[in-house]
Order: sequence, then C-alpha cells, then structure tokens
Amino acid sequence: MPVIEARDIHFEYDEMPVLKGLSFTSVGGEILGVIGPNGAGKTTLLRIIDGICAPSRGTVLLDGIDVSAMTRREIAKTIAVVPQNSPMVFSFTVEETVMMGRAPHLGRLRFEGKKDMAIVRRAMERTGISRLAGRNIEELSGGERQRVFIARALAQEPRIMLFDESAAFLDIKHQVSFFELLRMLNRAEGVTVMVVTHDINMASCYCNRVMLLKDGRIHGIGTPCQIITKKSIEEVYETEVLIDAHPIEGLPRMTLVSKRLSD
Amino acid sequence: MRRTAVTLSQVLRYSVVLLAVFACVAVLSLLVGPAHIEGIRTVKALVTGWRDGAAVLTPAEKTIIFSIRFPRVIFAGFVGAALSTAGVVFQALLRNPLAEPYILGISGGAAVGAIFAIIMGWYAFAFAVPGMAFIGALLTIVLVFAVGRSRGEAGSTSLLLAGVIVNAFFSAIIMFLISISRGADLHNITFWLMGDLGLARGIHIVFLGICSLAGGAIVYANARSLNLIVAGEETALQLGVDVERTKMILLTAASAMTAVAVAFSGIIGFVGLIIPHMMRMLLGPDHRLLLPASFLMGASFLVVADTIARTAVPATELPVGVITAFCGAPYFVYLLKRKAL
Repeated sequence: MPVIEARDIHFEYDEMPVLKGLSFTSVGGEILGVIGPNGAGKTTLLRIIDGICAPSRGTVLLDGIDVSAMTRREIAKTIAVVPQNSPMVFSFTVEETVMMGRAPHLGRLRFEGKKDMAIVRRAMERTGISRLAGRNIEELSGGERQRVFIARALAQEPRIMLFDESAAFLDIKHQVSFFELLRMLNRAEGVTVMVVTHDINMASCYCNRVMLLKDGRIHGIGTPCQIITKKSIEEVYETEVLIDAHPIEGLPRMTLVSKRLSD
Repeated sequence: MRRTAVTLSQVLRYSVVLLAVFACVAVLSLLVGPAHIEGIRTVKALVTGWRDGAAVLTPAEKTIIFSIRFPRVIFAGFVGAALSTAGVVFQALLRNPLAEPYILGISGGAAVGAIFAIIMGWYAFAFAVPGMAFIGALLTIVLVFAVGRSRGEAGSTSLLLAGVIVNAFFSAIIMFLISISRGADLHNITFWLMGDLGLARGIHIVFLGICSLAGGAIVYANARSLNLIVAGEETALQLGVDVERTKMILLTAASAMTAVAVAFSGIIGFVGLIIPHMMRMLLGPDHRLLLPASFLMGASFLVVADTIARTAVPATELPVGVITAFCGAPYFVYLLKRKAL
C-alpha cells in the first residue's frame, strides 16, 4: 500500500485555481523532491497532504486512510512538517522546542516521561544540536535553528517528513549538511521524505524521484535523469538552461545561462 | 539563564511556594488597617478558626477580621488571579507581549456598562452594576473580534488595533456620561473607573471565586496547546492541535474571567501585563508553569496593592487601580528599557 496517495487533487484560493487535478503515489522510503516555479502550487500541495488545507476535489490517503477523516493529532503522529522558518515571540529553549514534537503522543495533562526525554535527546543527537539544549532559540543562527525544527519533527516519530523550502536561506555549507541530514534520516530511520526546493541541483543529487510542477499540474514525475532535462526545465521555468552531467555523481546538473552571453 | 524543560514536580513545587507566599501576604493584609488589632491574637484567631476565634478576639475585632478584611483579601486575590491569568492567555493567543484585557478594550466596555447602571440608579439589585459591566465586557469582545476579523483571519495586529479603536470610542462615551452626571453618581463612577475592591459583597466573592477557579482550570487544561500556538498557529496545527477550537475555548474562558473580575471590581489596569511578564522572565514561557504561577502571583500582587490602597493615606481609601498603575507604569518602562519587547 502506498504511504502517500494523492488522487485528482483540486484546490482554489479565492476562486483562483492553484492545483488542477494532481495525482501521484509514493510507496514510501524515498526522498521525493518537489520543484517548480513560484506559484506552481508546491506549498499548497504540502499543506493539503498534511490536511491543513482541504482540497476542493480529490482525496489524499496516508497508508490508505483518508486524511480528511483523521484528527489533527493522528496526522501529527504520521506526518511532521519542517517549516522554512518560524518566528518565535516568547523565547523557548532548544530543548523545550524539540520537546514540543512529543505533543501529539501525550495526553492533555501528561508531562513528558523518561521515554519522551530519551526520544528528544536522540533527536537532538541525530541533528547535532545536543550542545545547544539550554540555549534560547532566538540566539541561534539560521542553520542551527533549522536543525532545531528538524529535531522537533523527528521527535514526532513520523513516518513522513515534509520540508517546505527548508534550505532556502542557508549558505552552501548548511545546504549541503541539510540535504546530507535528510539522506541520513531517510536511510537510518526509514522516513519517507518530501522536500520542496528551488535548488534543482540539490534535488538532482539527493532525491530518488523528482516531481516537476507547473501551474497546478504535474509536468513530470520520475528519477532526476528523467525529469531534469533541458526540454522540460526550459518549458516549465521559461528560462534558458544548460544541462550536463555532474562530474562525480553523473546526475543531471543545471547551469543558468546569462542573457548577455546568449545574445 | 539556562533552563531545563518543565516537569510536573517543578510545577507543583512552584505552586506550593507561591501559594505559601499568598498565604503570608493574606495574613499580613489581615493585620493591617485603621483599627489596630494585635498581630499575635489575630494569627491565633485564624489558627483556632472561625468558631473559637471569638475566644481570642473581642466581637468588634472578630467582625473586622472575619467579615470585613478577610472577604476583601479573598476577593482581591481572585480578581488579581483572574486578571493576570487572562493576561497570559491573551498574550499567548495574540502572540503579542502587549496584549492585556485593558488594552483590548474589554475593561472600557465593562466601564460603559457599569456607568450606565450607576446613572440609571439601579442599586437595589446586587448584580445590576456588575451585571451591566459583564454585558459591556462581553459585547466589547464580540465587537473587537468582529472588527479585527473583518480583514479575513483574526490576525493579532488587527485585533490589537481593533481594541485600541474600540477603547478610544468607549473613552468618549465615558467622558460624555461623566459630563452629564451629578453628585453621588459622579463619585461612584470615578471610584468604579479607578478600580475599587470595596464594592464586593459575599455573593460576588463566591461567584468570582467559582469563575476564576473554573476559568483557570479550563485554561490550564490547554496549557500545552498554548505553548504550541505561541510557536505559531501553523506549527500548532502540524503538531496536532485543533487550533480554531482551542482558540475559541481559551478566548471565551479568558474573556469571561476578565469580564467577571472587572464587573465586580472596576478597572484595575496593569495586573494582566506586569505579572505575566515578571513570571515569564523568572520561570520561562512554558504555560504549564507560567499559568499557575501567574494565577497565584497575580493574587498576591493585588492583595498587596489593595492593602496599600486602604492604608497608605490615613482616614481615606485610595482606589486600588491607582496603586497598580503607580507600580505598573514604572515597571513597564523598566521592562522596555531592559529588553526590547
């Protein structure tokens, strides 16, 4: 049974169609990249999978269960979302923030027990933030904070993790370590990962499959070699690009072409 | 300051300590007043209890301690607890450290209701003034949310702005009503506006006590959800909170607590602002600790403020709102200077 199955998803925002009949399945255990131009519906798709937005037509099934029939708490035990960045008003510590990931597993008045503490500690070790445990998250750099949110998502013990342009504001060092972390989580924990990104080269290197969205429809879904081609990237982004092979990995590599040179 | 995550034993420990603080403050407040009653005998009377107290105290002293000061201390405690708990909830839900019952216009709405009842001369019925104040407060909340929500989602900035606007409008109404009032009405209105804990009667205290405790319990049951909402509404949804429903429950509870407290006591500003801030600075932002701590500390604070109000100037009684504002405004400036809000 597929871990995620989307059937004919439609969604309108203020009567403007955002998603126009989108279907795909993920058998699970993979890293699925979602790429496409701004406004293609990437973030909306993630919110619909997570049940935060209800599609106007179509259904999303998680392990065969309709998301619209699940409570928020049940969804939070299955799916964890790592946001781009989330502003904090009152300063929680790193440990307190990661501990929030245990919320869907705990009763209203239950405090975190030994087992929860152990899960939180492990999530912080996995993401390399153990030494930051007592720090205020406001004091952290963007890259560190990103890891805190990943640790919080890990503490949820999800089967699926959704990343919404989570690497967008990271420098190249942190971008690489972010994608390395995704790969590690995917392999070591068997988590199904869906990652929205603007970085086509990163998607090519780290994703098992890539979904290319255009105007609320799937333009193509498949391995990076099948999807990241000169033809489809130029069609979807309306921008001239060069595609060759990555010198080490052999995967598609995209290079932008400056207007001045091409003239 | 380095903190570790909040545990149940920590919550219980702090609650016991703050409850003890309240008990001390309450006893001290019972000892102070225009009629001098020997401290040791008062404490003895309190320990031996209501019935045997007469053996230690004269009948007049017994009346002063048990019928005048004691109800007033308990009343002040519940008002302080309700206002500061409501402050914590509003700050968290609006994700804004400035949110407070007073700033949201709730107190102003209550004032209009109360003044209306005073001018109409509805004194015969014990619940007329507080009842009208309560209605005024609830209508204000509905109004503020209607105005704030008209721009789509009820965002925190538009809610605060709506509060400011509604507040300004009510101020105009209050000024108008004052300018057409005469004599005793004017005095009553002024005292009500400045916050007066001397207005309470037995039934009010019982009613307020039930509302404060029930409201506090409802809010506490949602403490963890409140933490997640502070971290962001989208985040809270992703972490399994039914955000809309939780917000509705918490807003209703906090609004009702505010409305009842304001209805019986008048406008007492700053409690809902100072106490939550102070507790957050000392204990961190986790609502499982912050809520009970603010509840208890708010109670102690208002008992102290009320004790000062009734003893600071001989032979007269100041409105407690004057004391809270005297303490609150400078503290607020200190907060602003110390750390940008």
